Parts: sequence; structure tokens; C-alpha cells
Amino acid sequence: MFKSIIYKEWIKTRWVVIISFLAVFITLIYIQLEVRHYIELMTAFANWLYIVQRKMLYYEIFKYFPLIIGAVISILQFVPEMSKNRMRLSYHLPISEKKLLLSMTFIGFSLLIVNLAIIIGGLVEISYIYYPTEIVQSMLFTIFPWLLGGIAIYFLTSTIILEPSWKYRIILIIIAFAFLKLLFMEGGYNEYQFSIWKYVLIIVFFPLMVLFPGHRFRKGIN
Amino acid sequence: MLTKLSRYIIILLIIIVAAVYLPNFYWMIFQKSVGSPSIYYSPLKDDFVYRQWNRLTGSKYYDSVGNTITDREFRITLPFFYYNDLAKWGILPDSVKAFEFDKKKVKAEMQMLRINSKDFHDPLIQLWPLIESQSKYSRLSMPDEFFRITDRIEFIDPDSNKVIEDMSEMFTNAMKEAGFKFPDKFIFGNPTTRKSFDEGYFIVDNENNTYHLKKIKGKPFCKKTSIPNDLDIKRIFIQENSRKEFYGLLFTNSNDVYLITYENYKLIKLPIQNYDSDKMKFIFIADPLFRTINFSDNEKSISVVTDKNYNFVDKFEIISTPKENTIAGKIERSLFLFDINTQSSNTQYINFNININYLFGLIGIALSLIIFFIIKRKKQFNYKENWFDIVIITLTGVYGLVAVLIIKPGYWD
Repeated sequence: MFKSIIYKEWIKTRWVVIISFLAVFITLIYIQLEVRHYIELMTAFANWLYIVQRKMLYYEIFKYFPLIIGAVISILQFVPEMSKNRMRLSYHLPISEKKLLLSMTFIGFSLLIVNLAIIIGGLVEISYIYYPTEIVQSMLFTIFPWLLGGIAIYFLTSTIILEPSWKYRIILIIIAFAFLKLLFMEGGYNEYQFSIWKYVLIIVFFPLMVLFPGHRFRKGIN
Repeated sequence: MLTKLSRYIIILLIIIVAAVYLPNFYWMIFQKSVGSPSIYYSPLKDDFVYRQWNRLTGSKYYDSVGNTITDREFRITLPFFYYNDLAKWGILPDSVKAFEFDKKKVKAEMQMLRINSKDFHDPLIQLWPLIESQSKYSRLSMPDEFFRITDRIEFIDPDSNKVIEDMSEMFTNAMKEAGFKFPDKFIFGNPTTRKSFDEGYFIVDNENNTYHLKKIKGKPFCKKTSIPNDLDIKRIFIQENSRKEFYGLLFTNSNDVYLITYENYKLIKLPIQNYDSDKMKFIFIADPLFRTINFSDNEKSISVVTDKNYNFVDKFEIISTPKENTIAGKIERSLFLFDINTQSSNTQYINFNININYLFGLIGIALSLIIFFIIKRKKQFNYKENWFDIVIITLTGVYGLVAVLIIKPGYWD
């Protein structure tokens, strides 16, 4: 059963996989070109100084990438299910609604993680060419809340799409927006250093969130 | 069970978001903006005067007993700060106490340092440029490399992103000869070229001794200072000033403040009490006759004046009502059991701090529970299945009430 779910989710999301891999790849090349350009223009020393003292985030172009990828994966997975009430059919599969929803989100989540891993890997790879460990580490600390934002938006979007009533959807959209904003407030590097674990602690519970709207859908609440 | 938990996760998220945003919205509506007063010591009156900013009335000026004075009177009493205005009005004094008034001399003897609580809580990548302190040129210029300290000092060339071995070895040896024990605990400096000369870095070693490190004609200068190793240093702020009285200010974790003088690094303790570096703004002003030390938060502003030898002269304190203690603040505290603070003017870091309003908050809980029972009396509410809703309201007050009312329980199987 799980295998056929994987196959179905793959059919729905394969395009996003290819496109986002491409986008990440192109952006990584762009960052490298940009850093090289800066260094040519203002010397490597000035570039480092700008990063250390003025807190320029040379990887800032990636800031909303995880958000976009997370939201798109979720939309591709769940919007087709919700249109024309197709989800009703899925709920008649010989698998409990909880298991079905959790496996679907698990697959989407794994896909997202692979994408985020590519972003991290690419950025680390490029950063080590031009920058010392201290700057690479601060890059990782700084992008972490953004990645977390991608994970959070994936589960939030799924919950919003699966929710049958528009009243709840609108409330959830506002709540999701307000919560996600908290992960993108930095004005420089390493600013979430001491509080990030608290945000992780909240987001850890997000995967279960899709069950309640799923339940409401099955009970036929509009 | 899992589905119920799922609902409570959504409720928890609503509570968190509400606790972050609702108190902020509340204060946006009810907070009256009043700036903290700027206090000065007038050498003419031998007394304090202050300026208070208020959104409605703008700047207003007062003497130490609280009488209003005019802008002009305020400036006249502070000739060291407003000599340009006084000169324009043609009323520049010939002398103030023993000091013969001369604009150039005043300018040369003024020094000001402002340190905000944010400056203590600001992430910094530990890579530092070591500026040549005896440059051939009239202006300072940045070096070509950064240093880091691990079990030695390493200079890194940004062009190749590699350690410069010979330079690193030369400086490591010089530091070891001076007695430095690697690795470091803190590095404090003022790495900018927008100053007239450079004093390098004050570095606290692994045994809490403080060393002074400079680059002189490309060669290392490293000297153990006489700063005691049991001070529990929080931070040193270096400010190169042509007065050459002190290198900078040293703050300890017990909120003592010292000047590190040019007299063989001898420390002078500033005679201040009740300063809290995590919450207060700190301003040090040197003028030709006095030293003024001001520190303030939203509850009080304190000004301490000393003579040139840092002997206590006078002290002035203005108590203001912090917003928490105003009527709006009391209502806020009873309405919201707690709030979640993510950004603060005292730190550059993003927080997630939960502040609980214990006693006042009980009012909010009681109110929320009453409202809940009134609403639910008319409608069917399955207490057996959804008893946890009441626990949530009891624990989170108004936020919980709102969340529980919005996200209604399902028809559980």
C-alpha cells in the first residue's frame, strides 16, 4: 500500500522536484558568481569585512526558497486531492485516514528535506571556497530558521488545503503567516542562536496537524 | 486520540501566535511614547538640568527641581555642549570656574561614549583585522588579513582563504613570550579606520589575564596588562581618543565599570550603583571640568557627576513610571496571563521568552473561564471528551479561550 502511495505522490510532485533542483542549482551558481564579482570589485578583505562587520548575508537570495519549495510541494500533493472531492475516494482505501495522511505528508516532507539538504550542501561547498570556517558556520546558523520555515510551511499549507471549511482555512492562513514571520526576523547573522531550539520544539509537533482537518473532512463538515 | 492531539496542536499554535502579537497590538494602541530624559550637569549652576522628549509636547527643559526652563536658558547653562550657540548669541563666558574658555580647548577635552545594552548582546563573527598602529601615512588603513585565536593566533589571507604561516608564528611566539595562555576567552577591539589612531586589541587569555595586542610596523606588540584576573570581565569597549586618558571602558558581570587608563593600564572604578548593563543605556561624558555618567532604563534615569579625578560630586535621579505600571499596563497584565517576547531593544538576538504576569493574570483566567461557561451553557458541550479545553483556558487565559472557541472540537468517534 505504502509503495503505491509513494508512486502516486511521485506522479504529482515529480515536476517540482526537477524544477526546484534546477532552481537551487542555478541560484548556487549565481551566488558563486556574485561572490566572485564582489571580491574582484572590492578585494576579498573588504568582502570579508562587509560580511563580518556590516553583516551582509551573501546567501540571502535563498531566504524564501525553503518557504516556496515547502508550499509548492504541499499544493501539488493536496490540491488535486481536494478538487472535486477526490479525497473522499482515498478515504475509502483499505488504510485508515490517519495512516494515509501521515504517509502522504511523510513522502512530501522527505522530498522537502532532500531539497533543503541540497541547498545546505551547495552553500557549504561554495562558502568553503571563499570563506573561513567562522563565516561558513555563521551561514549555517543563519539559514537554519529559514529551513525550519520551509518545514513549517509544508505542514501548515497541507493543513490549510485539507481543511474543508473556508472559515477555518482563513483563520489558519492568518495564524500560519503570523507564525512563519517569526522565523524571518533576522537583521544579521546568528541571531536565532539562543532561541532556535524553542522554535524547533514547536515545529516538531506540526506533522500531526493534518489529522484534524482530515477528520473534519471525513465527517463531512463544510 | 491522535486526532484530538492534532486539534490541540492547532490550538497551541493559535495561543503562541496570539501571545506574540496581541500584547504588541495592545501597546500599539495604548502606549504613550515618552522618551527617557537626557540629564546634564551644569558647571555654572553646579546643578543638574534635563531635557525630556514627549510626542505631544516635543522637547521640554527642566532644572533639577522640575521647573520648566526655556531652550535658551538650558543651552546657556551648558556652555561646554552649546558653545557654538553661545558664540552665535555673543554670550560665550570668558571662564567657567578655573577653566578659561576657549572653543578649541573645549573641543579637545570633550569625550563621549554611548553603550547600549544591545552592544552586550550582539552576535559577532570572531574574525578580526589587526590595524597597523604606526602607519607611514596620516590616516589609518585596514590590513590585508584577519586573525582568529585558537590554540595559537592565526592570520588568514582572504585572497587565498589560507593561513599565513610566518606571520601567525611570529605573533604566536610574541604572545607566548608575553605569557599569553591559549586559547583566548574574549577579544575586544575597535576595528575601524574612522579614528585618529589605533590601540589594537585587549584579549583575555585562558587564565583570565588581559593582554594588549597591537601591530607596530608589521611586528607584534603584546603586553600583559595589570588588569586583575578575578574581575569577571563582561566586555571592554575601546575608544581611541586624542585625550589619551583611557583606552576604554571595562564592564564586569557584577555591573561595575572601570576606565582602563594610559597609566600602565591602571583601572579607575566609576562611582556608580544600581547600573544594569543588560537593561540600561550607558553614557559617559568627559568635559573640561567634570565627568558625567548617565544610565537609564524605562524605570529610572540616574546621573552621577565626578570631578576630573573621579571623586563623587553629585547625583541626580529621575523616576519614571514604566508602561507596565500605568493603568493600561495593569489592564494588559490582567488581560494577558503571559506574553511571548521575540525582539527587544536590549538585544540583537531574536528571543522566544515567555513572561508570565502571575497575580494579575489570574483575573484574566477567571474571566475567560466565566465567559467559556456562559457560552457553552447554551450549546451542547461534551465535557467528558473535551475536558482538556478547560485545562487549556486555565493555563493560558484569554488566548486559550479564543483558540478553543475558534477551533471547535470535532465529532469524535
